[in-house]
Amino acid sequence: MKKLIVFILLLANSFSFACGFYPYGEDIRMRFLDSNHFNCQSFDGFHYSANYYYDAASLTEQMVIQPNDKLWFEYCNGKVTIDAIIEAVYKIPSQSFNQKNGNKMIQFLYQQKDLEAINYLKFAKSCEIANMFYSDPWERTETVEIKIIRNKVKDALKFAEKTKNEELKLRYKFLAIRLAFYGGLEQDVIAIYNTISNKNPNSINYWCMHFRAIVEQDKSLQNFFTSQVFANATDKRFPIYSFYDKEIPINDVLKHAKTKVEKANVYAFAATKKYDKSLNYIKKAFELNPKSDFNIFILLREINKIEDWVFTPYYTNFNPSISGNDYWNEERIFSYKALQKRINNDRKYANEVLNFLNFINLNNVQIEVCKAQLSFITQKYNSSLKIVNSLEKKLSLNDSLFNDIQIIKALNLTARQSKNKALITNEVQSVLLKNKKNKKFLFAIARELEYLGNTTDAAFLFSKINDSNDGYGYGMVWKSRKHKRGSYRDYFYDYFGYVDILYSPKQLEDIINKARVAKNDSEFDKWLKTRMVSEKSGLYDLLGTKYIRQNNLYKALESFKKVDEKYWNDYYSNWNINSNGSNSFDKNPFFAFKHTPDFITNKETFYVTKVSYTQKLIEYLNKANNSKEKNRDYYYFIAANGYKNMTINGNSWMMRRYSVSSYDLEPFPEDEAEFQNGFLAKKYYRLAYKHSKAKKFKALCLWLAEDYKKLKRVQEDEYYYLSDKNCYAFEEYFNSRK
Amino acid sequence: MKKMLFLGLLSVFLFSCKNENKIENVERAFYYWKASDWRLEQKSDSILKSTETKKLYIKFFEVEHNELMGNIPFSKNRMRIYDTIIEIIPTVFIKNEVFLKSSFKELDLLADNINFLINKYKSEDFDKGVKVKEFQMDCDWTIKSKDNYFYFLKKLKSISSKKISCTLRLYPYKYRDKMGIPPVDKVTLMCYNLLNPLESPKQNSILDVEELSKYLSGVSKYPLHIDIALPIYSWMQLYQNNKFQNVMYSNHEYLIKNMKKIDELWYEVTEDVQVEDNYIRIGDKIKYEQVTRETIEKAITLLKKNIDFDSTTTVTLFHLDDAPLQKYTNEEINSIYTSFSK
Repeated sequence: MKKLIVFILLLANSFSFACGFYPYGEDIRMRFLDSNHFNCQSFDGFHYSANYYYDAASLTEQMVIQPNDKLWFEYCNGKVTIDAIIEAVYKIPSQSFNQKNGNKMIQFLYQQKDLEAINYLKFAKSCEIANMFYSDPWERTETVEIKIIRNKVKDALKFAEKTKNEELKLRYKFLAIRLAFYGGLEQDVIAIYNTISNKNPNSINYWCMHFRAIVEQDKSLQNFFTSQVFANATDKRFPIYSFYDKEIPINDVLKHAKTKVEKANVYAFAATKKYDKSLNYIKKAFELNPKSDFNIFILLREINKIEDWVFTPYYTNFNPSISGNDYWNEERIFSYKALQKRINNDRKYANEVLNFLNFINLNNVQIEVCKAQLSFITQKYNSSLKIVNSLEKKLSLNDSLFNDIQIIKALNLTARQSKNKALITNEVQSVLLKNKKNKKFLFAIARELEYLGNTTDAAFLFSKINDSNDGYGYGMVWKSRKHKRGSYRDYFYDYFGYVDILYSPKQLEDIINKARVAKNDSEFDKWLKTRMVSEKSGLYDLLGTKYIRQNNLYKALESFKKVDEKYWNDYYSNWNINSNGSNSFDKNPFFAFKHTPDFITNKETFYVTKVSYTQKLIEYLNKANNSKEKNRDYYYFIAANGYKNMTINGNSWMMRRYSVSSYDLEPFPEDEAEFQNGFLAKKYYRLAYKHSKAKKFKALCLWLAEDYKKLKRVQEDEYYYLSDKNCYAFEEYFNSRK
Repeated sequence: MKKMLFLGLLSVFLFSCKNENKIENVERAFYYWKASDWRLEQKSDSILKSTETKKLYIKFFEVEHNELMGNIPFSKNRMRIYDTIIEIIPTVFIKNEVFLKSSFKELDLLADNINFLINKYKSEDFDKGVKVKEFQMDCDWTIKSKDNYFYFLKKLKSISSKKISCTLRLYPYKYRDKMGIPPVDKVTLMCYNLLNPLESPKQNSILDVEELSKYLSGVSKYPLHIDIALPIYSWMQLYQNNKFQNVMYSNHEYLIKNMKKIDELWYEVTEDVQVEDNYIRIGDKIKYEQVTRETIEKAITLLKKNIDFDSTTTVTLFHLDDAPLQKYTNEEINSIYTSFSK
């Protein structure tokens, strides 16, 4: 019971970042083989997971018949339903056990004149009060011995002696052991256990062994008991799991095993407790007990482990999910090189596991699926596809594993293509359509395409993963290999942010070209393109922004012009110069600065959008660069204002960015230096200075160009005046032009 | 002749002086009976300081008998005490059934357990400098449980090596022959809850002076040192359809606005109102039992008249809690203590 609290606490620990979300543990783990599809559901809860316990449906939810109910069913020769058994055993109080009771099990037992069973059930119910630890109310010890328990233990043993039925005998002894356990009578537990024969053990034997294990002081013996209970008693797996000391050498534990099956259980359980490579134990388990379900379970754990070690970093650039979460640590240096080294090593280990499976050559479909996946992990694509091919003939379409091998097939078909020639083949398309909700799968295909140079289809697939219309929230998160430092914001969660930072304008153009509805679009194309098509304006906006970053104003304008009017309103309504409120984005970027009083009185008024901004910038620069223009200084000046307001401190930073924060990290968009420092603005202020004749205006140009040294040198008095008055002097200085 | 006259006058003088026994040195104390607070509330803390009260009887826990587990503690109080000026007397309330159902062996264990648990809480919750010289046991023993209770008290004394005191109700005070004298160093006479609250509609069950006087008068000096405990709380008993429902210890000023007086101690509710978990309806009856200053003064006078106090005696007020204390000023509290010395 107490372990349950520990388990809950540890499970809760994975959600402990109350101040915000950072992907961690199970959020980022990559996995393709689904343990639910294999024949080891009774091990649910223990499959590989970043959490302390795998988030699993309980055995009762799985509609599995509990071992105790099964035993009673067999005791009643199958003549009583499980429901009747459950009611009689767990719900009906002992006072109601009589011939008139309507419960079918009770009626059956009376009909059979099986008073022994009736008396057993009544006695068992009277023991329920002692079926738990009582903490010492006087706080002297952790638990306290209840006086009546000793008497109850004696009674149970007395009944065991008198009863003729062997199963009931064993049940009485189990009750005695359990009573003694909760009563703190550890020596009695051992003594009673030693009177039990474990020749043909059933669940009751293992329930007894469960308590026997807990009270054992010798750790190697305890480990032995624990592994046997875990292997055999499905309903005791949780309670017994933690009674195992990993420090005890396995050979010491094996000394207690008498049969091959017992030894196999020792190895198999030891394998579940390992976070690192378990192949050696897995080999032994297979060797000693080849057909056991326990083997499939530990094999699957191992493969999920390898998937995490290889695919989590390979696809997401996060460390494997069971690594610690140190996002607090801003000094953490991210290095894909280091990750890559480990990935390669772990692929080699996957190969070792594959070789082993090839060697044992068991005719088992589940193992074949594992081999197919391991082949993919080791990048033996054709080999993997061969296995998949043969499995397709063996598995029925309804088999849950059939879909798993389709996924493996699709991954292989995609990954084995040549660089710059990779496509989403027709076969892969149909698998993608069937597995639309499998975000990890979609993501993996996208990344494989991206690594092979098909950044367009990759982006389209990314757009299908975190589609908020799905209602699934963050489907995938990932980092780029260009990340340098760690931070709580160092990951991508949607295609747009990724394309924004990492795609060139050309790559984005390719996406835009594809993002159109064509007459001959297949079902797959339609599905693939939905989001991009509907967000096309956003793509054009992004393209224009990328050109702005490159200072390619004409190209930028061309892109911006393709954006739907509605989009400007929806996303940039702050730009409406008629809007009121304290929002600083309602200023005209050529004629006003943030936190600065108005200083340019004669200004053009126009509805500011990215289109008009770019148009006007081009216009002003053209005028400024025209040697015949009389007011070149003026035009350079306001163009410079336009560039200045595009920097991080400006009122129109959204010309260059979709968000801005002091925590922004590498990789940055290509214009980061300009965005931080405003070099272009300074260049144009200097040109304004050069072409101006008005003294004060010239001083203002140098001031805004932050050329303080020069200003102090050429106009010292203006320097001091501006130092004193700063933006309050701008109006005076600007108007001195006239 | 003159000598005889002188002696006669002297004895008259002495006898007349015996009418009022004042306490030369009153040791001021409070009972603290709550189970849920971590430390003293504001008003309580301020009263202690302003009245210069240096003793606090704190209920550490209560004890009852359980079929499965034997004698067990409950209602544990884990209050932190940092003030080293105050002397703390850990108090344990023990249900009478414990002494009716336990063997001597179990009572040995009980004494050991109580000693252990008190010391455990002391070391965990109190500042090292806090003084604990005495334990007080509180039990309403009966004739049947007397022997076991007294056995237990002796055992506790020998195990703890502390001064042991116990509470003394007025019944065993008066009928000490049949109820016995507990084997303790001293007793605290509980001058409140003299009547069953549900059985005496016309009298104040917390403190009725007439009832008090019945117990005090005509009784010889008690063979042990006597300290006194007096009440400074009040309560409202809620009766709905003439059936007792609940006691309310606070919100009296708020409730009074919704009641009209129908008798000396009784009120009838005039407005539906909710107080804590009680939904009080029009027509419900409330018995409001208060302990007024006058009542206390009368009780003190009676006590001084009938009890031969030692020169240093502890006067303890029940109980230290912000809610009931709101009704008294610091001066009024002070005056309770000083009245004993006048």
